Amino acid sequence: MLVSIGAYDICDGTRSGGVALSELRFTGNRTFDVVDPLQQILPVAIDRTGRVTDTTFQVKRVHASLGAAEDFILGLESAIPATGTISVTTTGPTPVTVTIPNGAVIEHDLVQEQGATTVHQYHILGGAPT
Amino acid sequence: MLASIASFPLANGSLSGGFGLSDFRMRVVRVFDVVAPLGQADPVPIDRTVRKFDLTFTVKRMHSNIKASEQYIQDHEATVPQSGTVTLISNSGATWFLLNGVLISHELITEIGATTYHSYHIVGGPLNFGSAAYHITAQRGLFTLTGEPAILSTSRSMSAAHGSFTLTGEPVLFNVTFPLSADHGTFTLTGEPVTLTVGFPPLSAGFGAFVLTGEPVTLTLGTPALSAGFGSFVLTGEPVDLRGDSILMETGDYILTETSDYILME
Repeated sequence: MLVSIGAYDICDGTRSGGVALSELRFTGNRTFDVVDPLQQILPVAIDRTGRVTDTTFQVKRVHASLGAAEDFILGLESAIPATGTISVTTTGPTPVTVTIPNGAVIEHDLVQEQGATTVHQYHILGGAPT
Repeated sequence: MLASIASFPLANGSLSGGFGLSDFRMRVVRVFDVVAPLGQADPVPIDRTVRKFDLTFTVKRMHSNIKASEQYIQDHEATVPQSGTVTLISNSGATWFLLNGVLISHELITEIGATTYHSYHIVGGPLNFGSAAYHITAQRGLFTLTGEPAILSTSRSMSAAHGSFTLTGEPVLFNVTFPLSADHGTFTLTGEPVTLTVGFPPLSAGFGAFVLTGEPVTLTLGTPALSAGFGSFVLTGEPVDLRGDSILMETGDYILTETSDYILME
């Protein structure tokens, strides 16, 4: 699975840009208000129609050299956009792309560096996938 | 990767000072407020533009002997700064500066003979490339200053360089006791009749093209003389009455048409 935010590819299918996502977690939160009306036994769930998608995943990249890996680590914060539309593309002969509106990369984390290999973890919030 | 905080090197590339960082981890938290508006499906992320960096790494040092290593361990808390700008130099030579860095913990995790392993935990932000100075940036957009009339009052001469100027919206009042000069260019006065009154010194105009329209033009000769240099002049629309003690005409072509008047030459 490949991911991008706006025009920036978080995982583009290459070794240096990330072949695929790993440790993918996908949580859909539906915003409900649960009300207990007076003189009524059952609670009433009011759907506020809000949908929040919480996504975390890791991307492993193999850079050309140790220097390139360290430059990527230090330059990632200024390179990756904070907000934008998230595009998630499945793998396979007939890939399917879904978009997550109002996406925001709220956290990125270097979790492993071994030589020229880096593993980054991303935490993304957004709307409902369409 | 090499690192230092303030002027203290945490890893300076030498065996005794730390050849490089290992087990490097860097966590970046972007502070967002995620709002779920009423009656709206998608949440709205509001970027508060705050970036918090959390760095951890280990530095291995090989001291000259076990006594030196133990001395280094004992003195480390007193020698390493608590806060300052953290400088990170990548293996390719690129330098980054973590502003507002604070070393919140350092830990001796292994000592084997004269070899020590220290783990460091640093927080701070933002992370700048190439400069330790703060940057205030504005994204591309349109900026408008509005709200108060602008009054241009000066007792000194005010000059305008070559260019095109447009004054709109409010009448402009120029109060000046010194000459108002304008360089070569195209100027357009619109909206109000223009009155050119000359006293002393004479009103002079340099080489250029001038068009007077809309109001009859009256040229009255007094003192000093009204003179015109070499050029092409066209007077149309109204009868021309030339009177004076002397009319000086330089070499050129003159055409008089549709007149029964006479020219008296003395």
